[in-house]
Amino acid sequence: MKELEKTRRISISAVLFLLVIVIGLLTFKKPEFNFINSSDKTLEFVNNHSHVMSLADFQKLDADSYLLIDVRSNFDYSKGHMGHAVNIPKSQLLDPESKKIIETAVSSEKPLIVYGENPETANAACLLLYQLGYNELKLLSIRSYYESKEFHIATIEMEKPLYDFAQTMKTESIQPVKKIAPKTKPIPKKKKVIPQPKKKKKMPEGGC
Amino acid sequence: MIPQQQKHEGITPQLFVKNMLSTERYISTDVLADRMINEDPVLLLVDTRTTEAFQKFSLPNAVNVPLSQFFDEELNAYLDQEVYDVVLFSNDNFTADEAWLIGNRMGYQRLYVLDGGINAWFETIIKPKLPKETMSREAYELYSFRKAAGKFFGVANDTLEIEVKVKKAPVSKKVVTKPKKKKKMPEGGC
Repeated sequence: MKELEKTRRISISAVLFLLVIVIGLLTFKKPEFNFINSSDKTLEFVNNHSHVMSLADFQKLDADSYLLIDVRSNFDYSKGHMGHAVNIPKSQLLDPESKKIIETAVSSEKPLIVYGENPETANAACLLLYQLGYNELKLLSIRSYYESKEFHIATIEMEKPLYDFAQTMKTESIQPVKKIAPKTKPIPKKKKVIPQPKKKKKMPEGGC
Repeated sequence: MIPQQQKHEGITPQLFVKNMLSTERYISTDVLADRMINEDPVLLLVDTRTTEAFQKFSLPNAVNVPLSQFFDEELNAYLDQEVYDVVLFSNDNFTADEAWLIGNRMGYQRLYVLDGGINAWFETIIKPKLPKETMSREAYELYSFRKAAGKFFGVANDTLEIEVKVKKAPVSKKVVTKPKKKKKMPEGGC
């Protein structure tokens, strides 16, 4: 009798255990958003600079052949926007509604074109979308602003130096700060130790 | 289900968006200059431009990590760490921002972006603009700070003092010329 009870208990507990696993699997929700493109791939994408599109190139496209996304806030969008633009604020890029809009465009093989106040802010949204797996992406290199009750856009060239830095330093006889440099230069040496120091430092302290 | 989870390298998209929306990553040139002058030991400047551009000119004590070599083992050690406040910069903040975004995805800590990059550095620290007369006292204080900071970084005493001298000159000349002639007359009489 005792042995029978034991086997019963074991079988009941086994069934319960299996039940927990099955329920766990059934109720497990897939995260809705995953990064699909790896960081290495993103870096490659960024370094190609093929995703940056000038206004002139953009204007050559047919209006139906792309989805133009305005990543500014609702308020800014309501004041004025580029024609055909759909408003998906940066903060709402992960909303299910925005996902629908993007997915429908992607399914009809339309590239996504992103713009915002300036290329920097739009680029953040652009990189997010790329990492979520949307490969057909363009970033408009424009600045948009609201002036005298009208919406304006202006082309902007990124990473353009305003001065020839080295030349202005020479002509204005600004001495490059060699005097200060040697004091703080040992930085590289410290850095090799960076990954380890915290743990290692604790050890000798305990020993003392 | 499981393979997709494993692909999930770095932080979640939700956290990525949260960090991306925050402007805490931007550090102004004035704050940076102040920290450099005070020789902040945890400050580390990282130039994300190409090696050529870096060799021509860069900010003092900066380390060059071209964006294309972001994941190079040696150079990546500058970014993937928790000891320094790493300030990324480029000509403006486009490339630096890209580097920040990739670092953010990987979950790197203590990364910052120099707001406006070297262009802003030149416009504020190297060549600060004289505030207008109607501007507030703070603007003048900021200007004098920038002037002083500029001197620290090697700018000679230039534009400002010349402007001031030009204004003062005509007043003093008028006073000087008159008295000398008058004094000579009575002396001759005696």
